Amino acid sequence: MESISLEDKFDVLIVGAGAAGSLIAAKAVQAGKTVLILEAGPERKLSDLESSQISARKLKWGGAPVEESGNHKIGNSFNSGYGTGGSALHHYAVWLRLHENDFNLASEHGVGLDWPINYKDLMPYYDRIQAEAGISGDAEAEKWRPEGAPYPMPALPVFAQGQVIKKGFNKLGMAVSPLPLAINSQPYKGRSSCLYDGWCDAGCPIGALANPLVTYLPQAFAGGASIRHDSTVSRVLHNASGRKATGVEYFDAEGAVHQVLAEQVVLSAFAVQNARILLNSKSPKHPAGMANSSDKVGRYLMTHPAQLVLGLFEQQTDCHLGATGGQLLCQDDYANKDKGDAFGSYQWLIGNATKPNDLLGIATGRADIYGAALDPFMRKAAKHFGQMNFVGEDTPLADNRITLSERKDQFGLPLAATHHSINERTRALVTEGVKQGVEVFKAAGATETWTGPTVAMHLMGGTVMGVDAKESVCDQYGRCHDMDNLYIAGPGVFPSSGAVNPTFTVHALALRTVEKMLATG
Amino acid sequence: MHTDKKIQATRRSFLKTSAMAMTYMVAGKALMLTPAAARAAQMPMKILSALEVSTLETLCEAIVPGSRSAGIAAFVDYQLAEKPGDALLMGRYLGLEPPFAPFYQQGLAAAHQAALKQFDRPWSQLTESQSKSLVDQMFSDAIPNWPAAPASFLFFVWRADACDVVYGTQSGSEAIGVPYMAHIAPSDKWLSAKEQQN
Repeated sequence: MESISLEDKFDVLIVGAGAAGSLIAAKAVQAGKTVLILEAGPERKLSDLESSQISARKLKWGGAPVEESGNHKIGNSFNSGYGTGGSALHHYAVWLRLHENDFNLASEHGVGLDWPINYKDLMPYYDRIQAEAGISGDAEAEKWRPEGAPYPMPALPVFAQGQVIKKGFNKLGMAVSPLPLAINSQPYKGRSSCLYDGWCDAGCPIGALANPLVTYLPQAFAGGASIRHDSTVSRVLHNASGRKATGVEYFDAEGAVHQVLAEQVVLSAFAVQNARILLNSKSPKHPAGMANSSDKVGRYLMTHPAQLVLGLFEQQTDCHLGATGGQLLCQDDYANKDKGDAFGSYQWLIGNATKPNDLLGIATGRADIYGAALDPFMRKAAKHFGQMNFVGEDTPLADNRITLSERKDQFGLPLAATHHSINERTRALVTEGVKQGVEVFKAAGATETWTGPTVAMHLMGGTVMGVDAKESVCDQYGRCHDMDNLYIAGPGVFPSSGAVNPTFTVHALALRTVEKMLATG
Repeated sequence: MHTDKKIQATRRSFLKTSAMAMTYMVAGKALMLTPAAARAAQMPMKILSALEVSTLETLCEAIVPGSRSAGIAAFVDYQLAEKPGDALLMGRYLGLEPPFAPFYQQGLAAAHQAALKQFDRPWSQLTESQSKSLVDQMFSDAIPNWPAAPASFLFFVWRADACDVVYGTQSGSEAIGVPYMAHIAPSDKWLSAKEQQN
């Protein structure tokens, strides 16, 4: 090892400036703690968030390559963020609660894992977070919604695309509700309301969407938290007994090695990189990597299998209007997980605001149209295009995992290698759901309907929480079973995926985590 | 070759940093251009050879009409020269690992060989129907002994790149009837060569 710069000691050291890390930083400084955040990516400011699907790509993962294998690769580059705000900077703000039936897969269905908590444990945290960050929705219309406080803002408007597709659901006897979004339908806590122009994926620069740059990071910095960008954490340090984390080692942009000490350490660098850091933190006390006496670090990697149903309608749809995440929600089949050949809940996110280009854009949806036929199609679709997104539950499988590759990054650190496959029952769930979606579009009067490929949406697992230290990495608060003061935050702690977007749950769990930290540290 | 006069830029052509605007050093000064403007000014390529440029332009024009003049080659070349993590090509979403240049160059070499084998001439000399025939074959992986990434995948990637430069801009979006409605405008509208000379 070359020279190591040993720096100040902090009360709380947080790795990753995304949704979870930002919230924990804010709450910790407000409790009087000194806080340092280390972020692998560059600094992002609201003024950087240009309205362009091309420049939006800079917000996605730009760190060391992540190897991917399996029949359902995780799409790390699309699903992960890089820089201030992490993946929450480009997220679509679909803030849904897990349902009561999402917490006990193993005991109720003999599938996957149980959570160490139930919905009732999480409910008050959901309620507090939605009051702090703001959600627009209609709790009464959302008939599947578990118990909880009503949303603090009325729902966002439903534009033509949503109205057109809604008719299809209603004709088939299915219900839809406004999609709950952490996007302001009216000014909220000093932040402006949405303009409905569909640039969520490029990052919202006006403060209408609850990304960390306008929610918890300003609070953290106002309270004195520090942040260092371009800082890649290589490993967690520990004391002589191996039970206490003493800080982390990291590389700066120039490749210089630093060590920072802290009383409490939080890994909130997202599902893949958290596991990578732990596995790379091998020592005589932790020969298989830190917090890995169970051999569960990296296991139960999950991602929601998702698929678009797309079509053209006679009516004008104005598909450029609204939010990228969608306008309407249907969870009619959420309660029934055991469907025989198929397993899992699923939901529909309906009427996504759509741009002409990019991965989820109009053109990419029909790669079979090219040459002279392309421009006429684009002009027609610009007026009459509609789409909705199937989001299915992934089954937690131990062999879906993150390991360390033989290949190294620019700092000589092993790359993360990920393997993720879906089983027959999950595949059947997707097939069943998409078939329903096509029927909905036909019932809505689509003149033409097609479907996209099955893709990976959201990343979860890899450092799962549980009661049994032999079967999980951390406890219900994210504290690693093997360590006294090392916490994991973010979707990596999810023992199962449910079928709802994870960011709201990430916030609720992070709030539980930091309050536990403050009570014990 | 470009001349100072050709690339003499007005204040309007010094675009603020954006996804599409690309920075060139000319006579010691930074000049920011859109891909279309860079093509019109014949700015030198950083990665792609002349043969690769003409191959990419011709096959992309057959896939997405308008992409040649929109500066597909300048856009791709500029992004290939960016350091890992900064390249904004859609391939980064599709499992491509940086650096992306080998993927593109091997694909272009395979496309060039296919043109020679089937029509005994490079892409730039193919008729419209010959270009169409080749991209049809790429789309369906029907070209035998293709020595690069699957042709259908390259087709998908190049189509996406071409759609970026044709439809992913303010003017391209508005041309098909999609109001752009930027919060923060990514760049000025496309600059024509004529505008640059003003």
